[in-house]
Amino acid sequence: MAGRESAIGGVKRRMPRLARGGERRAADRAFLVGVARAFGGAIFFSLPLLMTMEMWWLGFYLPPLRLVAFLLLMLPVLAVLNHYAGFRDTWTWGEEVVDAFVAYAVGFVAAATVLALFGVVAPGMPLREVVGKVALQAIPASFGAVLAISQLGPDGAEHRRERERQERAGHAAELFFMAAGALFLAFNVAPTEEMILIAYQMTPWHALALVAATLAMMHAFVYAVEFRGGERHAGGRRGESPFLRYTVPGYALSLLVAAYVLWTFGRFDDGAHLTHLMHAVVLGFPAALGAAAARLIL
Amino acid sequence: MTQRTEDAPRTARAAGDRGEGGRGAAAGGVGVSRWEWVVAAAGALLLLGTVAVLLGVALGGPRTPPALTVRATSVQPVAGGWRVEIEARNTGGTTAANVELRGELRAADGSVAETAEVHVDYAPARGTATGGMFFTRDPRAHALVLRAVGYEEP
Repeated sequence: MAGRESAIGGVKRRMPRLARGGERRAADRAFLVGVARAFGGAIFFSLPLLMTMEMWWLGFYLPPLRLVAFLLLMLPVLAVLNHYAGFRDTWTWGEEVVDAFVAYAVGFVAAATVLALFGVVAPGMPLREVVGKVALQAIPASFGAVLAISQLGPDGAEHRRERERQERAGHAAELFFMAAGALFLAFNVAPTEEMILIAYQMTPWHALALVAATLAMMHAFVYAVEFRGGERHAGGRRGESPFLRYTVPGYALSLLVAAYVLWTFGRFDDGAHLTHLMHAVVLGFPAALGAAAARLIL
Repeated sequence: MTQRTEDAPRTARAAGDRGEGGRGAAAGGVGVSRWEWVVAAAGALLLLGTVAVLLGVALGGPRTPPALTVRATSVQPVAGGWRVEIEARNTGGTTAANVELRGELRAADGSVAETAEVHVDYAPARGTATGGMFFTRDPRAHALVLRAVGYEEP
Protein backbone atom coordinates (compact mmCIF):
# COMPACT_ATOMS: atom_id res chain seq x y z
CA MET A 1 0.00 0.00 0.00
CA ALA A 2 2.84 2.33 0.86
CA GLY A 3 4.39 1.61 -2.51
CA ARG A 4 1.18 2.41 -4.34
CA GLU A 5 0.86 5.70 -2.52
CA SER A 6 4.32 6.75 -3.48
CA ALA A 7 3.59 5.92 -7.12
CA ILE A 8 0.49 8.11 -7.01
CA GLY A 9 2.36 10.78 -5.14
CA GLY A 10 4.01 12.11 -8.28
CA VAL A 11 7.57 12.76 -9.22
CA LYS A 12 8.30 15.62 -6.90
CA ARG A 13 7.33 13.81 -3.72
CA ARG A 14 8.42 10.43 -4.85
CA MET A 15 11.76 10.19 -3.15
CA PRO A 16 10.73 11.16 0.37
CA ARG A 17 7.61 9.03 0.09
CA LEU A 18 9.66 6.05 -0.93
CA ALA A 19 11.99 6.60 1.96
CA ARG A 20 9.05 6.84 4.30
CA GLY A 21 7.51 3.72 2.79
CA GLY A 22 10.65 1.77 3.57
CA GLU A 23 10.68 3.12 7.07
CA ARG A 24 7.06 2.18 7.50
CA ARG A 25 7.72 -1.33 6.27
CA ALA A 26 10.55 -1.57 8.77
CA ALA A 27 8.20 -0.34 11.46
CA ASP A 28 5.53 -2.84 10.44
CA ARG A 29 8.04 -5.61 10.49
CA ALA A 30 9.47 -4.60 13.86
CA PHE A 31 5.99 -4.38 15.32
CA LEU A 32 4.79 -7.70 13.92
CA VAL A 33 7.93 -9.41 15.17
CA GLY A 34 7.21 -7.87 18.56
CA VAL A 35 3.63 -9.14 18.48
CA ALA A 36 4.83 -12.63 17.56
CA ARG A 37 7.19 -12.55 20.52
CA ALA A 38 4.39 -11.26 22.69
CA PHE A 39 2.20 -14.21 21.67
CA GLY A 40 4.98 -16.58 22.55
CA GLY A 41 5.38 -14.92 25.91
CA ALA A 42 1.66 -14.74 26.59
CA ILE A 43 1.30 -18.49 26.11
CA PHE A 44 4.61 -19.33 27.76
CA PHE A 45 3.95 -17.36 30.92
CA SER A 46 0.28 -18.22 31.29
CA LEU A 47 0.34 -21.88 30.28
CA PRO A 48 0.37 -23.16 33.89
CA LEU A 49 -2.80 -21.14 34.51
CA LEU A 50 -4.38 -22.07 31.20
CA MET A 51 -4.03 -25.68 32.37
CA THR A 52 -5.41 -25.08 35.86
CA MET A 53 -9.02 -26.14 36.27
CA GLU A 54 -9.70 -23.75 39.13
CA MET A 55 -8.99 -20.91 36.70
CA TRP A 56 -11.67 -22.18 34.32
CA TRP A 57 -14.19 -22.41 37.14
CA LEU A 58 -13.27 -19.02 38.56
CA GLY A 59 -13.95 -17.67 35.09
CA PHE A 60 -17.65 -18.29 35.47
CA TYR A 61 -18.31 -18.01 39.17
CA LEU A 62 -16.12 -15.03 39.99
CA PRO A 63 -18.31 -12.02 40.83
CA PRO A 64 -18.26 -10.04 37.55
CA LEU A 65 -17.45 -6.69 39.16
CA ARG A 66 -14.28 -8.06 40.75
CA LEU A 67 -13.14 -9.35 37.38
CA VAL A 68 -13.89 -5.96 35.81
CA ALA A 69 -11.91 -4.24 38.57
CA PHE A 70 -8.95 -6.53 38.00
CA LEU A 71 -9.05 -6.05 34.24
CA LEU A 72 -9.08 -2.27 34.60
CA LEU A 73 -6.36 -2.35 37.25
CA MET A 74 -4.11 -4.23 34.86
CA LEU A 75 -4.24 -1.41 32.33
CA PRO A 76 -1.97 0.98 34.29
CA VAL A 77 0.18 -1.96 35.40
CA LEU A 78 0.72 -3.01 31.78
CA ALA A 79 1.34 0.60 30.74
CA VAL A 80 4.04 1.10 33.38
CA LEU A 81 5.63 -2.28 32.64
CA ASN A 82 5.66 -1.29 29.00
CA HIS A 83 7.55 1.81 29.91
CA TYR A 84 10.42 -0.31 31.21
CA ALA A 85 10.14 -3.46 29.12
CA GLY A 86 7.77 -3.14 26.22
CA PHE A 87 7.14 -3.87 22.59
CA ARG A 88 9.60 -1.22 21.54
CA ASP A 89 11.10 1.90 22.90
CA THR A 90 8.24 4.14 23.85
CA TRP A 91 8.40 7.73 24.88
CA THR A 92 5.12 9.06 26.06
CA TRP A 93 2.40 7.82 28.29
CA GLY A 94 -0.08 7.90 25.42
CA GLU A 95 1.99 5.28 23.68
CA GLU A 96 2.45 3.22 26.79
CA VAL A 97 -1.34 2.98 26.99
CA VAL A 98 -1.59 2.05 23.32
CA ASP A 99 0.93 -0.71 23.93
CA ALA A 100 -0.99 -1.82 27.00
CA PHE A 101 -3.99 -2.33 24.73
CA VAL A 102 -1.78 -4.24 22.32
CA ALA A 103 -0.78 -6.48 25.24
CA TYR A 104 -4.47 -6.97 26.05
CA ALA A 105 -5.26 -7.89 22.45
CA VAL A 106 -2.45 -10.44 22.45
CA GLY A 107 -3.49 -11.74 25.87
CA PHE A 108 -7.14 -12.16 24.92
CA VAL A 109 -6.41 -13.86 21.62
CA ALA A 110 -3.74 -16.14 23.10
CA ALA A 111 -5.99 -17.14 26.01
CA ALA A 112 -9.03 -17.69 23.79
CA THR A 113 -7.02 -19.77 21.32
CA VAL A 114 -5.49 -22.07 23.91
CA LEU A 115 -8.75 -22.46 25.85
CA ALA A 116 -10.55 -23.32 22.61
CA LEU A 117 -7.85 -25.87 21.75
CA PHE A 118 -8.33 -27.45 25.17
CA GLY A 119 -12.11 -27.49 24.75
CA VAL A 120 -12.50 -25.31 27.84
CA VAL A 121 -14.47 -22.82 25.82
CA ALA A 122 -16.70 -24.13 23.08
CA PRO A 123 -19.65 -23.00 21.03
CA GLY A 124 -22.93 -23.37 22.89
CA MET A 125 -21.61 -22.19 26.24
CA PRO A 126 -23.28 -19.14 27.75
CA LEU A 127 -21.61 -15.90 26.69
CA ARG A 128 -20.87 -14.97 30.28
CA GLU A 129 -18.99 -18.22 30.81
CA VAL A 130 -16.84 -17.84 27.71
CA VAL A 131 -16.13 -14.17 28.39
CA GLY A 132 -15.34 -14.84 32.04
CA LYS A 133 -12.96 -17.70 31.30
CA VAL A 134 -11.12 -15.86 28.56
CA ALA A 135 -10.96 -12.53 30.41
CA LEU A 136 -9.53 -14.10 33.54
CA GLN A 137 -6.82 -15.89 31.56
CA ALA A 138 -6.15 -12.77 29.52
CA ILE A 139 -4.79 -11.09 32.66
CA PRO A 140 -1.71 -13.30 33.09
CA ALA A 141 -1.43 -13.71 29.31
CA SER A 142 -1.22 -9.95 28.70
CA PHE A 143 1.28 -9.76 31.55
CA GLY A 144 3.30 -12.47 29.81
CA ALA A 145 3.03 -10.58 26.53
CA VAL A 146 4.80 -7.60 28.07
CA LEU A 147 7.34 -9.71 29.93
CA ALA A 148 8.14 -11.63 26.77
CA ILE A 149 9.85 -8.69 25.27
CA SER A 150 12.24 -8.36 28.14
CA GLN A 151 12.72 -12.11 28.53
CA LEU A 152 12.63 -13.64 25.06
CA GLY A 153 15.33 -11.57 23.49
CA PRO A 154 14.59 -7.95 22.67
CA ASP A 155 16.61 -6.02 20.15
CA GLY A 156 19.93 -4.89 21.46
CA ALA A 157 19.54 -1.15 21.13
CA GLU A 158 16.03 -1.08 22.51
CA HIS A 159 16.97 -3.31 25.34
CA ARG A 160 19.90 -1.11 26.29
CA ARG A 161 17.64 1.91 26.42
CA GLU A 162 15.19 0.07 28.64
CA ARG A 163 18.03 -1.05 30.85
CA GLU A 164 19.26 2.49 31.15
CA ARG A 165 15.79 3.61 32.02
CA GLN A 166 15.56 0.93 34.66
CA GLU A 167 18.93 1.92 36.06
CA ARG A 168 17.65 5.45 36.43
CA ALA A 169 14.39 4.26 37.94
CA GLY A 170 13.76 5.68 41.36
CA HIS A 171 12.67 4.00 44.53
CA ALA A 172 8.98 4.24 43.63
CA ALA A 173 9.61 2.51 40.31
CA GLU A 174 11.55 -0.23 42.08
CA LEU A 175 8.64 -0.78 44.43
CA PHE A 176 6.32 -0.87 41.44
CA PHE A 177 8.43 -3.64 39.91
CA MET A 178 8.17 -5.52 43.16
CA ALA A 179 4.39 -5.17 43.27
CA ALA A 180 4.13 -6.28 39.64
CA GLY A 181 6.33 -9.31 40.31
CA ALA A 182 4.29 -10.13 43.40
CA LEU A 183 1.08 -9.87 41.38
CA PHE A 184 2.37 -12.16 38.68
CA LEU A 185 3.54 -14.93 40.98
CA ALA A 186 0.60 -14.61 43.39
CA PHE A 187 -1.81 -14.85 40.47
CA ASN A 188 -0.10 -18.03 39.33
CA VAL A 189 -0.72 -19.98 42.51
CA ALA A 190 -3.70 -18.23 44.11
CA PRO A 191 -6.46 -20.06 42.20
CA THR A 192 -5.47 -23.54 43.37
CA GLU A 193 -7.13 -25.40 46.21
CA GLU A 194 -3.69 -26.13 47.62
CA MET A 195 -3.45 -22.53 48.81
CA ILE A 196 -6.36 -23.16 51.15
CA LEU A 197 -5.16 -26.59 52.15
CA ILE A 198 -1.66 -25.36 53.04
CA ALA A 199 -3.09 -22.68 55.28
CA TYR A 200 -5.26 -25.26 57.07
CA GLN A 201 -2.28 -27.51 57.69
CA MET A 202 -0.27 -24.75 59.31
CA THR A 203 -0.26 -23.66 62.93
CA PRO A 204 0.31 -19.98 63.78
CA TRP A 205 3.92 -20.99 64.59
CA HIS A 206 4.33 -22.28 61.07
CA ALA A 207 2.99 -18.97 59.80
CA LEU A 208 5.50 -17.00 61.89
CA ALA A 209 8.33 -19.19 60.64
CA LEU A 210 7.11 -18.68 57.08
CA VAL A 211 7.12 -14.91 57.54
CA ALA A 212 10.72 -15.06 58.78
CA ALA A 213 11.77 -17.37 55.95
CA THR A 214 10.05 -15.17 53.38
CA LEU A 215 11.83 -12.07 54.64
CA ALA A 216 15.17 -13.89 54.66
CA MET A 217 14.76 -15.16 51.10
CA MET A 218 13.55 -11.79 49.88
CA HIS A 219 16.52 -10.10 51.41
CA ALA A 220 18.88 -12.57 49.75
CA PHE A 221 17.36 -11.58 46.40
CA VAL A 222 17.55 -7.88 47.20
CA TYR A 223 21.17 -8.32 48.22
CA ALA A 224 21.88 -10.11 44.95
CA VAL A 225 20.37 -7.21 43.03
CA GLU A 226 22.52 -4.77 44.91
CA PHE A 227 25.52 -6.80 43.84
CA ARG A 228 24.46 -7.16 40.25
CA GLY A 229 23.48 -3.53 39.93
CA GLY A 230 26.97 -2.52 41.01
CA GLU A 231 26.91 1.25 40.98
CA ARG A 232 23.18 1.19 40.56
CA HIS A 233 22.46 2.14 44.12
CA ALA A 234 25.82 3.56 44.98
CA GLY A 235 24.19 6.95 44.69
CA GLY A 236 21.72 6.04 47.38
CA ARG A 237 22.10 7.75 50.68
CA ARG A 238 24.38 6.01 53.08
CA GLY A 239 22.97 4.62 56.25
CA GLU A 240 19.77 3.49 54.55
CA SER A 241 19.85 -0.25 54.67
CA PRO A 242 18.45 -2.13 51.68
CA PHE A 243 16.51 -4.19 54.20
CA LEU A 244 14.43 -1.19 55.22
CA ARG A 245 14.43 0.35 51.75
CA TYR A 246 13.37 -2.71 49.77
CA THR A 247 12.84 -5.88 51.74
CA VAL A 248 10.34 -4.65 54.31
CA PRO A 249 8.21 -2.45 52.01
CA GLY A 250 8.47 -5.13 49.36
CA TYR A 251 7.10 -7.72 51.75
CA ALA A 252 4.32 -5.40 52.87
CA LEU A 253 3.38 -4.83 49.22
CA SER A 254 3.49 -8.57 48.59
CA LEU A 255 1.08 -9.24 51.45
CA LEU A 256 -1.29 -6.54 50.15
CA VAL A 257 -1.12 -7.94 46.62
CA ALA A 258 -1.69 -11.45 47.97
CA ALA A 259 -4.72 -10.27 49.93
CA TYR A 260 -6.11 -8.45 46.91
CA VAL A 261 -5.74 -11.51 44.69
CA LEU A 262 -7.29 -13.76 47.35
CA TRP A 263 -10.21 -11.38 47.76
CA THR A 264 -10.71 -11.24 44.00
CA PHE A 265 -10.79 -15.03 43.83
CA GLY A 266 -13.40 -15.13 46.58
CA ARG A 267 -11.12 -16.72 49.19
CA PHE A 268 -12.14 -14.09 51.76
CA ASP A 269 -15.87 -14.50 51.21
CA ASP A 270 -16.34 -16.81 54.14
CA GLY A 271 -14.28 -18.21 56.97
CA ALA A 272 -12.54 -16.51 59.85
CA HIS A 273 -10.21 -13.52 59.86
CA LEU A 274 -7.33 -15.54 61.28
CA THR A 275 -7.71 -18.00 58.40
CA HIS A 276 -7.67 -15.12 55.93
CA LEU A 277 -4.48 -13.81 57.47
CA MET A 278 -2.91 -17.26 57.19
CA HIS A 279 -3.94 -17.42 53.54
CA ALA A 280 -2.34 -14.05 52.92
CA VAL A 281 0.89 -15.19 54.62
CA VAL A 282 0.94 -18.40 52.57
CA LEU A 283 0.30 -16.59 49.30
CA GLY A 284 2.65 -13.84 50.47
CA PHE A 285 5.52 -16.32 50.20
CA PRO A 286 5.40 -16.76 46.41
CA ALA A 287 4.31 -13.14 46.06
CA ALA A 288 7.36 -11.92 47.96
CA LEU A 289 9.69 -14.10 45.91
CA GLY A 290 8.06 -12.71 42.76
CA ALA A 291 8.56 -9.22 44.13
CA ALA A 292 12.22 -9.80 44.92
CA ALA A 293 12.96 -11.63 41.69
CA ALA A 294 11.16 -9.00 39.61
CA ARG A 295 14.05 -6.61 40.20
CA LEU A 296 16.39 -9.25 38.83
CA ILE A 297 14.26 -10.38 35.92
CA LEU A 298 12.51 -7.29 34.59
CA MET B 1 16.00 12.91 22.22
CA THR B 2 12.53 12.89 20.74
CA GLN B 3 10.79 15.66 18.88
CA ARG B 4 7.44 14.01 19.15
CA THR B 5 4.49 16.07 20.17
CA GLU B 6 1.74 14.79 22.39
CA ASP B 7 -0.87 14.68 19.65
CA ALA B 8 1.27 12.60 17.35
CA PRO B 9 -0.79 9.45 18.02
CA ARG B 10 -3.84 11.25 16.70
CA THR B 11 -2.14 12.46 13.56
CA ALA B 12 -0.70 9.02 13.09
CA ARG B 13 -4.15 7.52 13.24
CA ALA B 14 -5.21 9.37 10.09
CA ALA B 15 -4.16 7.16 7.21
CA GLY B 16 -1.76 8.69 4.78
CA ASP B 17 -0.65 11.32 7.23
CA ARG B 18 1.85 9.16 8.92
CA GLY B 19 5.14 10.68 8.01
CA GLU B 20 4.56 13.96 9.80
CA GLY B 21 5.46 12.92 13.31
CA GLY B 22 9.12 12.51 12.49
CA ARG B 23 9.21 9.58 14.85
CA GLY B 24 11.25 7.33 12.64
CA ALA B 25 14.44 9.20 13.31
CA ALA B 26 13.76 9.38 17.00
CA ALA B 27 13.25 5.64 17.19
CA GLY B 28 16.65 4.97 15.74
CA GLY B 29 15.39 4.05 12.27
CA VAL B 30 12.19 2.34 13.33
CA GLY B 31 9.00 4.33 12.95
CA VAL B 32 5.61 3.38 14.25
CA SER B 33 3.60 0.71 12.52
CA ARG B 34 -0.02 1.19 11.52
CA TRP B 35 -0.55 -2.39 12.70
CA GLU B 36 0.11 -1.20 16.18
CA TRP B 37 -3.00 0.96 16.01
CA VAL B 38 -5.04 -1.88 14.56
CA VAL B 39 -3.95 -4.31 17.27
CA ALA B 40 -4.31 -1.72 20.03
CA ALA B 41 -7.83 -0.89 18.82
CA ALA B 42 -8.65 -4.61 18.83
CA GLY B 43 -7.33 -4.85 22.37
CA ALA B 44 -9.39 -1.86 23.46
CA LEU B 45 -12.50 -3.37 21.84
CA LEU B 46 -11.91 -6.74 23.51
CA LEU B 47 -11.45 -5.09 26.88
CA LEU B 48 -14.50 -2.85 26.49
CA GLY B 49 -16.60 -5.74 25.19
CA THR B 50 -15.56 -7.92 28.12
CA VAL B 51 -16.29 -5.17 30.62
CA ALA B 52 -19.66 -4.54 28.96
CA VAL B 53 -20.64 -8.23 29.15
CA LEU B 54 -19.51 -8.52 32.75
CA LEU B 55 -21.27 -5.30 33.77
CA GLY B 56 -24.34 -6.57 31.98
CA VAL B 57 -24.18 -9.70 34.10
CA ALA B 58 -23.54 -7.70 37.26
CA LEU B 59 -26.38 -5.27 36.63
CA GLY B 60 -28.62 -7.58 34.63
CA GLY B 61 -30.13 -9.40 37.53
CA PRO B 62 -29.82 -10.06 41.22
CA ARG B 63 -27.39 -12.72 42.31
CA THR B 64 -30.21 -15.10 43.13
CA PRO B 65 -29.29 -18.49 44.58
CA PRO B 66 -29.03 -21.45 42.22
CA ALA B 67 -32.25 -23.03 40.96
CA LEU B 68 -31.79 -26.31 39.16
CA THR B 69 -34.04 -28.23 36.84
CA VAL B 70 -32.94 -31.56 35.41
CA ARG B 71 -34.27 -33.17 32.26
CA ALA B 72 -33.44 -36.21 30.21
CA THR B 73 -32.14 -35.48 26.73
CA SER B 74 -31.97 -39.07 25.52
CA VAL B 75 -32.68 -42.63 26.67
CA GLN B 76 -30.73 -45.36 24.92
CA PRO B 77 -30.26 -49.07 25.58
CA VAL B 78 -26.59 -49.84 26.20
CA ALA B 79 -24.69 -52.94 27.26
CA GLY B 80 -25.92 -53.86 30.73
CA GLY B 81 -28.95 -51.60 30.81
CA TRP B 82 -30.05 -48.15 29.78
CA ARG B 83 -28.26 -44.85 29.58
CA VAL B 84 -30.13 -41.62 30.29
CA GLU B 85 -28.35 -38.47 29.21
CA ILE B 86 -29.30 -35.57 31.42
CA GLU B 87 -28.97 -31.83 31.37
CA ALA B 88 -29.14 -29.76 34.55
CA ARG B 89 -30.07 -26.15 33.91
CA ASN B 90 -29.31 -23.55 36.52
CA THR B 91 -31.78 -20.70 36.15
CA GLY B 92 -30.44 -18.93 39.23
CA GLY B 93 -28.04 -15.99 39.22
CA THR B 94 -25.17 -17.76 41.00
CA THR B 95 -23.16 -20.85 40.22
CA ALA B 96 -23.83 -24.07 42.09
CA ALA B 97 -20.86 -26.27 42.94
CA ASN B 98 -20.76 -29.96 43.93
CA VAL B 99 -24.23 -30.54 42.57
CA GLU B 100 -25.80 -33.90 43.39
CA LEU B 101 -28.30 -35.10 40.79
CA ARG B 102 -30.62 -38.05 41.38
CA GLY B 103 -32.79 -40.05 39.04
CA GLU B 104 -35.54 -42.40 40.18
CA LEU B 105 -37.51 -44.96 38.23
CA ARG B 106 -40.97 -45.27 39.76
CA ALA B 107 -43.31 -48.13 39.13
CA ALA B 108 -46.99 -47.62 38.44
CA ASP B 109 -47.83 -47.92 42.14
CA GLY B 110 -45.40 -45.10 42.95
CA SER B 111 -42.75 -47.28 44.56
CA VAL B 112 -39.15 -46.54 43.65
CA ALA B 113 -37.84 -49.34 41.48
CA GLU B 114 -34.32 -48.01 40.99
CA THR B 115 -32.22 -44.92 41.70
CA ALA B 116 -29.10 -43.55 40.08
CA GLU B 117 -26.98 -40.65 41.23
CA VAL B 118 -24.42 -38.44 39.61
CA HIS B 119 -22.32 -35.64 40.90
CA VAL B 120 -21.32 -32.62 38.77
CA ASP B 121 -18.66 -30.16 39.87
CA TYR B 122 -20.37 -27.01 38.66
CA ALA B 123 -23.62 -25.78 37.20
CA PRO B 124 -22.81 -22.24 36.05
CA ALA B 125 -25.24 -19.41 36.68
CA ARG B 126 -27.79 -19.36 33.84
CA GLY B 127 -25.92 -22.23 32.25
CA THR B 128 -26.10 -25.98 32.03
CA ALA B 129 -24.19 -29.02 33.19
CA THR B 130 -24.56 -32.31 31.34
CA GLY B 131 -23.99 -35.93 32.29
CA GLY B 132 -25.60 -39.30 32.23
CA MET B 133 -27.08 -42.02 34.43
CA PHE B 134 -27.29 -45.77 33.98
CA PHE B 135 -30.26 -47.90 34.90
CA THR B 136 -30.68 -51.65 34.71
CA ARG B 137 -34.41 -51.35 34.06
CA ASP B 138 -35.97 -49.64 31.07
CA PRO B 139 -36.64 -46.00 32.05
CA ARG B 140 -39.34 -45.77 29.37
CA ALA B 141 -41.35 -48.43 31.14
CA HIS B 142 -41.31 -46.39 34.35
CA ALA B 143 -41.87 -42.83 35.46
CA LEU B 144 -38.42 -41.20 35.38
CA VAL B 145 -38.06 -38.55 38.08
CA LEU B 146 -34.93 -36.38 37.81
CA ARG B 147 -33.97 -33.76 40.32
CA ALA B 148 -31.06 -31.92 41.92
CA VAL B 149 -30.59 -32.96 45.53
CA GLY B 150 -28.21 -30.27 46.74
CA TYR B 151 -25.28 -28.01 45.98
CA GLU B 152 -22.47 -26.09 47.59
CA GLU B 153 -21.54 -22.45 47.11
CA PRO B 154 -18.29 -22.26 45.16
